[in-house]
Amino acid sequence: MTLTQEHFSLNTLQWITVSLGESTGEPGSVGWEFDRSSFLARQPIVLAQVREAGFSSVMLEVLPTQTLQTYAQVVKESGLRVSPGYVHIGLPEEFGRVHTGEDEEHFRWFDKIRRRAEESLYLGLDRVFLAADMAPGRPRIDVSAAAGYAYDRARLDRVANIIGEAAAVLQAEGVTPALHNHVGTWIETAAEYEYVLEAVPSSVLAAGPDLGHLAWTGSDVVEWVAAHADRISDLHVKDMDLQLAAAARRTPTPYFDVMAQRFFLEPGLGDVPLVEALAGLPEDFGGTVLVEVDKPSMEPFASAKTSWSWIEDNFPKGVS
Amino acid sequence: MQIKNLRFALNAIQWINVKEDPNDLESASLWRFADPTFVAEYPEVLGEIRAAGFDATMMEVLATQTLQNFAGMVEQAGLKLAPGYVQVPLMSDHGDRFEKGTFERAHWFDGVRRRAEESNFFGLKTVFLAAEVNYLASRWERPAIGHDFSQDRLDEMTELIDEAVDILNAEGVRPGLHNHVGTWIETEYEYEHVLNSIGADRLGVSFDIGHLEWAGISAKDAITKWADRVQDLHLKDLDLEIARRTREVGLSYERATDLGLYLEPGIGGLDLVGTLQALPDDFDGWIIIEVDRASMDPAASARHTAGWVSEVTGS
Repeated sequence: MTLTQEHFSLNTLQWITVSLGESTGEPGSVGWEFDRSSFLARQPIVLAQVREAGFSSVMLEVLPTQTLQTYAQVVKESGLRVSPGYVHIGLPEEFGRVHTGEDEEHFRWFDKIRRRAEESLYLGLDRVFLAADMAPGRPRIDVSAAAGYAYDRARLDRVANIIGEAAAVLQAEGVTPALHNHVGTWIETAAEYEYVLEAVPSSVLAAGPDLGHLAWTGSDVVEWVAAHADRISDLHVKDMDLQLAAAARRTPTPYFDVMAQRFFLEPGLGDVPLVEALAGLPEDFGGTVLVEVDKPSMEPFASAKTSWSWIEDNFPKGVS
Repeated sequence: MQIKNLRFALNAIQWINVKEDPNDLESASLWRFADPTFVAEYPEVLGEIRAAGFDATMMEVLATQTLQNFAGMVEQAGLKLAPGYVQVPLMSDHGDRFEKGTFERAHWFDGVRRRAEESNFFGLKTVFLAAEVNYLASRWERPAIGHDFSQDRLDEMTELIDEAVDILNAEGVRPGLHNHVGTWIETEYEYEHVLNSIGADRLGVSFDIGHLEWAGISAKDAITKWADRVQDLHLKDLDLEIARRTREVGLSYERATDLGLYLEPGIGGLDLVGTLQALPDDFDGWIIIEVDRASMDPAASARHTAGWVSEVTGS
């Protein structure tokens, strides 16, 4: 077995997406509690529970209302290490912007990319997941998720371009991005994912798949990992009910309607062949396997403990 | 305080606050820190500051670069860093006044937290804290005389400054209140109101000598009066005739700048040496020199300024 328990980390989604999809439309009420300053007080408690659940590592997540130094201190006190963070980039046109490619606005479009590089470096990380933007108000969020809805080759080229630009920004800072697929974005299907990976050289862009999101679109994740093993730097894993996934692909279903069901599950409780897929990683794999439970099927702390139990059941202790 | 014991740094402002066409006063005024193309020029500017004779510059991480990127530039230039500067916008200048505990209010201070983060990254323990320079506010057209004063507005500003002070202190960075012509903290009454409202244990004072004098306040007297709270200073020289005309005839901030209000130290009319001598003997802060609009080529302006420092410090 290649992987050990030391490879695994947790995204604290369990604690913060409970009300996702129930937004009142007011700023800060998007059900994404990271954005609210109220989460600052909860953060140490959540990280302590991550540690207590068994994890030794948590995903980088500096809150918008927090300095790097404060975050580093909270992480240190929790006894956890941090694993690579996540950043996404949208097409300016989808936000009503027209960029010529050289103007100030276009340069500033990558501010949050630079910020994530800064955060990563400060916390001693040299890798980050890079995805296409997933803001509500897109057809794949509001009309039909996981089915490659509204595919447009020309737009995919523009997405590949902006991913390439973001990758260059990150590389200039010494951070290597790993392209991440995500349902609801323009890099959703295996074909789209492949297209962008081929468009941007592997020397500047690694692969950082989300196996759950790939499975949601109907892809064979065991085959996918085996085929891309050399390019994968880190991964996200999540489990889900694949029958619901298939039904949602047959009948166009908005993202948050799928999510409102008992769809996302703790690893091992769903149908995604995660253990088999991870077995396809190279012997010397040195990246992180990040566990995500986008919406827990139980109380958050129990969800984290259940996730760790799956890791303990399937992977040996590491040599530390 | 003996001048020879002071620490001086240069703000790169000579290269930043320039006219689009240096030979045409009617051309646009630029503020190049925000210009993405300036990132590539920044190492050269830092190098010129060092070459002029300064060993320190003000911390100014561009909004278009990372902390690590700026750190690399500063190291390459062989410079140390002096405390940075942060401004607090007045909510009612920008729309609604958000209550404490709201999402919008928490994010109102993002810039303040960012400056704390930058300061801590570079090991700086103090920062200049000012009211926002707002080009649309009435004082930008009628600067240096406390124009359009309102106690309600000052109270709102004080409350926001107070909250910024809390944020900075929580991060271990000690703020010094900074007066600035054209802002809502411009006159003696205004900065004293804020200083009297917020305790000395939480807020020092980091005057701008030039902005005091422009507003008709004796910087020497201000430093003497607030000696136990003086933390760091900005120093600039002025054409006192233009300063007087601003107050008495009513020049706009930009017009006064374009006419040559700002000058390299020693060229203008301020008694800078006498003012610095008013500092208490135990003063251990920074003197950051600013030439908001150079009266000569930027590099020459920096060299001239360094020459003045050598002269007054006897080094």
